[in-house]
Amino acid sequence: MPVSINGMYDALLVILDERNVQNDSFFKKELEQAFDLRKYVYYQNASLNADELWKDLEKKIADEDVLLPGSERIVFCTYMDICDLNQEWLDRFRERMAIFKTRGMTQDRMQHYYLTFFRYEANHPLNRDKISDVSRLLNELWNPSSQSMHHSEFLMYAGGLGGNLNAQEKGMIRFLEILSTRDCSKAITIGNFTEALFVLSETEYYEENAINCRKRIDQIEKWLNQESDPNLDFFVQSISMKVSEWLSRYQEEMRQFQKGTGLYPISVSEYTAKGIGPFRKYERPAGLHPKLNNEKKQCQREFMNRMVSSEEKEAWKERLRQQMAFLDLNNLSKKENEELKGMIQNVVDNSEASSRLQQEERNSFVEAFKKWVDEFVSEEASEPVLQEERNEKAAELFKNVNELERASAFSDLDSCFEQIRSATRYRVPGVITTVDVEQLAIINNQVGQDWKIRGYTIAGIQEQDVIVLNNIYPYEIVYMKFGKYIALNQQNTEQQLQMVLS
Amino acid sequence: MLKERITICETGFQIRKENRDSGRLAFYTVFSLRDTAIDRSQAHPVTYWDAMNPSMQRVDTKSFVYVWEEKNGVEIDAYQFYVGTAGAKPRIQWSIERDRHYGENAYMIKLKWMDHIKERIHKRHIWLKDEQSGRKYGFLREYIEPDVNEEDRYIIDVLPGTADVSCLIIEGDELLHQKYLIVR
Repeated sequence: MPVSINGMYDALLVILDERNVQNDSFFKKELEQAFDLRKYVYYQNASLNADELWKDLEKKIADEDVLLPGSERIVFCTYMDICDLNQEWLDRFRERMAIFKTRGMTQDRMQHYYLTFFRYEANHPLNRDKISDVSRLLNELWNPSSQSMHHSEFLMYAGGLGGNLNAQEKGMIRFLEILSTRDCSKAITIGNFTEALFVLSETEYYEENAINCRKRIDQIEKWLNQESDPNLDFFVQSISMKVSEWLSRYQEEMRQFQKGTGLYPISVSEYTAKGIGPFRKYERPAGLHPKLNNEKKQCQREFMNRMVSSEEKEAWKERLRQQMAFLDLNNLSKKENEELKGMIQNVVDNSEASSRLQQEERNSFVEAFKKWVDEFVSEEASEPVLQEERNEKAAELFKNVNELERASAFSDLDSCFEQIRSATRYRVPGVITTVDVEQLAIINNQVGQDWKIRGYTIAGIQEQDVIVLNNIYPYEIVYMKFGKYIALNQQNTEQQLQMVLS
Repeated sequence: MLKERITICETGFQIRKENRDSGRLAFYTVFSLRDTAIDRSQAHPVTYWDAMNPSMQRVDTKSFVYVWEEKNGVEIDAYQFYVGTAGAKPRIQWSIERDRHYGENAYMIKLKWMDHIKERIHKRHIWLKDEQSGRKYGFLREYIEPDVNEEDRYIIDVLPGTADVSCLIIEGDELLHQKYLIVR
């Protein structure tokens, strides 16, 4: 039967991303999705020395920016370009190891662990001298006299197409996720990853994901390329609907004001005495009290303020947001201020509810509602917002297209079980034979339950290599394999590196 | 929030510094309930309190204080309060009673300064409120002010169907309540 493991968070993950990449790299985004904010620390090109790193971590833990689990286990992970591997980096690495050791971090495999992922981009081959240098430094890493902490090294081979590296980076994050769980030793034997450059690959299959991806791709493409409100009719209509609602309320407010004018207290000194003795009466000043007009204006101002800050505005904006596509918003963004104002003015002037209002009242109504429109335009339809939104949607589209490709790799769960192992390939040049050292399949509890009844088999995988973890989708399966690619400290190490990296 | 960093005592107040946001400067000015607006031209700088130099800003007791913070010359936060809340608050009593001398539907509102502490109060601090509808009705004068009998009187005309007189009350803003007790 598959092995159920305790997948609780059990190690703080510290990522040192030293690659020269943009902030929104695939790796970083996947990392954000996989780990809760307080369960990992991400440093991008921070170039901290060991002492600074240690102090910063201690501060983050003390300030509770991150959570150090009860095990006090830490998994360190450096991700860097192999071309940046130099003596200085090696010295820093060793210094880090030494400091960690003095701070009580032992070489216990189940305690702290240090992984380095070297990225090699095939379109930037290394020259012979650099490769000799890299070979020497990698050998140095495994110099028996400098082993202060358990560590492993992996090669991420970027073959020039995004998908190639993404599958490895996904595997890398999945690997880190497993290492951060309490029962990680039941899934992976860490002791297998020594004195070599290892490679890994991952395949994920989630039965419903293809449908989800297609649906999302359709939505995004529609949003990006189709106008849903070419003449902004819907936009004007939505203004019209809200304007007439608020105009009716305004009229009711003014009716109430009119009805209650007698309730505005007038000083007795303004009353005129008539008659004498017990028949004396006092007369109210004739006509409309001059200060009543100020009260009316105050009442109007308060009404307009209520309208400007009304919570209804959020629902109105949300409805527009859902209805309007990129081209519609782009169209709206090109409208001049006066044009937008004119649009609202038209709606107000043509509304039946405004027929008895004075021009001044209509104008203040237009001014107030314009604030709703201005807010929507600045949040949704200004040029920088649109640009950002379009970029985000384009990235999401790219991600979904990629994911669809993976999600459609098998027609159903049964064929996935049959083919997933053979379909998962190491993305490295075959000039060197990769020797499998570890493999595992991860299934969700639902499949785990089905397993008991139906007795599945995953082709080529022993049942003890199938683990049940609940941080994946129902009916999703993840297959990972790890291979030993280039042995270090061997006579032919440099020669092999020359074959792969030049 | 500036409000949360201010401690008010009987003779003045102190402000703690905003730790995460340096570059703020604090000022104060005093005002009274008759003022129509805050006069910032009378600004006095305030020294922030710190453990090494625990300073308190003294002000005339029984004053209203407006404190604000500026950053790069722009006001970013403000708070107003009354200094001198020790002891019993003076009372302003109100009543609303029918008075047909002023008309068929007329009611007289009487405001009385009960404890010989009296002053002009700008209308923005006090109003008539219909508790049933929640509507507020401002006095049609710039100020309410005590006469020789320490009273001020007003008339309202409650037409049938407009309000239930038993639900009409006199209400003041927070500042007025900091200094006075408004009683029926």
